[in-house]
Amino acid sequence: MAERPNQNTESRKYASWGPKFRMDFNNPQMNADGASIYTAYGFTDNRDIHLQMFNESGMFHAHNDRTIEIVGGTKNSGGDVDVEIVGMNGEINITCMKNGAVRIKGSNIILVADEDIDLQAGRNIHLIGKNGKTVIKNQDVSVDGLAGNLVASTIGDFTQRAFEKSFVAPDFPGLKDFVKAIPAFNSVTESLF
Amino acid sequence: MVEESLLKSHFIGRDGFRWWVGQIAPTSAWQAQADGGGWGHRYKVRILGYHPYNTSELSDEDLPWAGVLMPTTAGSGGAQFAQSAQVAQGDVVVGFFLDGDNAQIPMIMGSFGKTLYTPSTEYSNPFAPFTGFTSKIKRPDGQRDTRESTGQSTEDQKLQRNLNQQHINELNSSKGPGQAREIQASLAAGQTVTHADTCSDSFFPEVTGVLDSLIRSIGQGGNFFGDVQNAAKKIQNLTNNFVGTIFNSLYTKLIPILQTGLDILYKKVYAAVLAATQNPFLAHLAGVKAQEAMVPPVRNLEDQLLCTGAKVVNNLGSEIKGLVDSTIMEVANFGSCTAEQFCGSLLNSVIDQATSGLGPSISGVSKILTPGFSLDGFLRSSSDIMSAVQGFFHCNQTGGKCPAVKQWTVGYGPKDRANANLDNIMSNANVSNSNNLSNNSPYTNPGCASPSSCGGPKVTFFGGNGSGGSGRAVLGSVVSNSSSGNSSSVARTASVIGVEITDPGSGYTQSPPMVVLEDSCGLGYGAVGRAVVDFNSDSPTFGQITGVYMPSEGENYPVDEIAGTGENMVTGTAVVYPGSGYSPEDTATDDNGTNYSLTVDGGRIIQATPINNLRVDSSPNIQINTETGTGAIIKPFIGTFVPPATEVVSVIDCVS
Repeated sequence: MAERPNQNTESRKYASWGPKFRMDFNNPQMNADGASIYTAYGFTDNRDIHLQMFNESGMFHAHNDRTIEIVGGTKNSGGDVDVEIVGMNGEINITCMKNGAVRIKGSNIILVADEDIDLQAGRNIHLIGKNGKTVIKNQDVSVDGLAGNLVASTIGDFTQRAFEKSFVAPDFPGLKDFVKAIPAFNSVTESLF
Repeated sequence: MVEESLLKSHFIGRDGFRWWVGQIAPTSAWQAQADGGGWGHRYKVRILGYHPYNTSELSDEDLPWAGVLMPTTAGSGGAQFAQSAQVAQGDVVVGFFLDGDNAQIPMIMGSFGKTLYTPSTEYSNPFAPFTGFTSKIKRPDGQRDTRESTGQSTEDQKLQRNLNQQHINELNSSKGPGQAREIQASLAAGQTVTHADTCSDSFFPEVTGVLDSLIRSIGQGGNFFGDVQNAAKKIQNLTNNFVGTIFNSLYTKLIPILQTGLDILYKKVYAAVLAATQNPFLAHLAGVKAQEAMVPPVRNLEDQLLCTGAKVVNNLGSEIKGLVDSTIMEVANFGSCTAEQFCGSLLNSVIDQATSGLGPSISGVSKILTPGFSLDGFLRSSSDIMSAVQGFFHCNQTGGKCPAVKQWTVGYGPKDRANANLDNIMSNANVSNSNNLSNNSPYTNPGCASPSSCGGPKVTFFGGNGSGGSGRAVLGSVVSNSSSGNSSSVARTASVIGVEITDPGSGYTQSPPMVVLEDSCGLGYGAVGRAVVDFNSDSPTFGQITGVYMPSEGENYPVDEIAGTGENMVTGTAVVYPGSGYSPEDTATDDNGTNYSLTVDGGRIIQATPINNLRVDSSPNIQINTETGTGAIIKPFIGTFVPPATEVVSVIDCVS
């Protein structure tokens, strides 16, 4: 493959402080989202890289092969804002690519949505309060599921729903004793099953 | 001598000024100073015309110390304004003697830059060029081009690129001897990120993203085996969603089947008892008892449904690892069709394990199931069983919470999501089943995602709050790969200089769609387009895509040799920012010679219209000619060239 012709190298400048850190300005070579306005690039003896890049697409890239630590507010007091992250128009996405967890901890955790809050899990969702109460409140509150005491006492669990159009209430203990009390009935039905 | 000494002032410049050129001796000759044991910035320097060309007459260690003059922008250290000197062994430096003709106190004023042709070899003889790298400043190994030079050439201090490994390899394949190799700036470039999304089932795009990223990471020097394990574990975790969806669909569909079965059972027993006893009450009680007898097996089925899903996922670990291993071995390009095969094979395993795990419980309720009911057949009969019914949409909810950008490619930006064809997955599952491919390859056609030929770049619009839209990529800055002597698989490549809209879409009333420009071989990179939408509710094109401008044109997009590249011109403009203070007399021109008339309203530019049709080969920059206005940005739309109408030379009146 060949690079595009007529690249503007006239304004390219760079500064390199030894092999492990360099900066480059107005480099016309094409990246995935355009040529770079500035790039800061460093790497360790173990080839772990650090990259900052601002490209013609307008996107700013900050990559670090190892941990990125952001600490704010060491000298702030309780009511101050230590870290402020703002997306002006679009979304903020936080994704653990492999099998990491997203952990958020605080004295209070407040999630506020102008419209919906969706919680979705591939496996379990646990809502656990230790020393208070759990309130679920809205205009329309409903549950759905296969089993569990909340399901059983509302829409019915799997077995209840399977039997809901039958003459048997699966938790109706009196029926069995009532039927057994009729000898003639038993003699007939025993032969059927 | 005495006279000479007496005539000297011993002030620099007043007794003559002696320039010199010399070479910094190997660092080993001044190691203690380099290690911080000395003072100031000082270097041992061998000076042409003053010092011998060999070390036997004058060793490197015995050379004089040279101080360094710092530029005024570097600071002296006073008030802690300071910079380090950047002088390395082997550097050829120029300076003067502080002591004039005595030539014992050299000062370094500057250095000659090394060129691409300066040897970068180890030290051999005085004044022969040699490398600046030492035992403590090591030559970079892999993360950077090793050449030591400074200059304006693109080969000088070659910058690492933020591209995926495929693009890096493609570029390097066309490099000639002596050219600096491309080096990937970040291993993360090209990895696919799938965003949180409760609006649609993301299992398929997630798996596609994980495996695509894994395949791309092969040979990149990361922790590959760890990556494989992580990918397998990630897919196993994702399978919770997949299996959960299947089990939820299964129990939901089983309930009406069981209800019907119980009804039939009751009627059957009722009829038999009524025939035997002629007593409807007894017949009824017998029917009820028959139904009641099914409570324990149904309850058992419920219990098994509850725990079998988790067991299936837990048991899939080695199965998934095997599928991932097969993927690495067999698939060069991962795409939707390979993902369907992978997911089909995985689905086959899920169905096998679900059938095995639920088999005894299903047998327990066989009396009330349809005669001949087979759980395996039931699960394989319909792709509906896999489609997740999302419970998050009710009458008062909107799609506003659904991510416009569902996937992201690191370094590249937004990506249109891979979509699953559930029927294809199901048929692949059945193929796996019939071929008994368990623990073997999931792939019947592992090369399906590799195109047979590379077409031109395609334009995709997605996201935004509207729908539809399509366009044609307008190419420019064409490069002939045959003439450039490289081994490219395509004859010509080009940049994307614009997008010609063929379908403006509709409904984009709040946010424009994303634009993705991709070719089927994934050769091109760097083209970034921004869709412009008409937000004026009074306009006939309200909510439509009116054009696409290109913040970056990219390169290496294959030219479709059938469609060709054609000739192009500026067909319109987008006023990205209207600015302020402009005058109606202001005009604009671009660096290709096209002139523009401006419509100014209240000092703001609201429209710019090209006046003359000129061919363009790249997206031109539009400059506004104004003495009063500031802040406006106008970007061109590029489309097919239309020759200007022929001028009227004369009018011949044939009537009179």
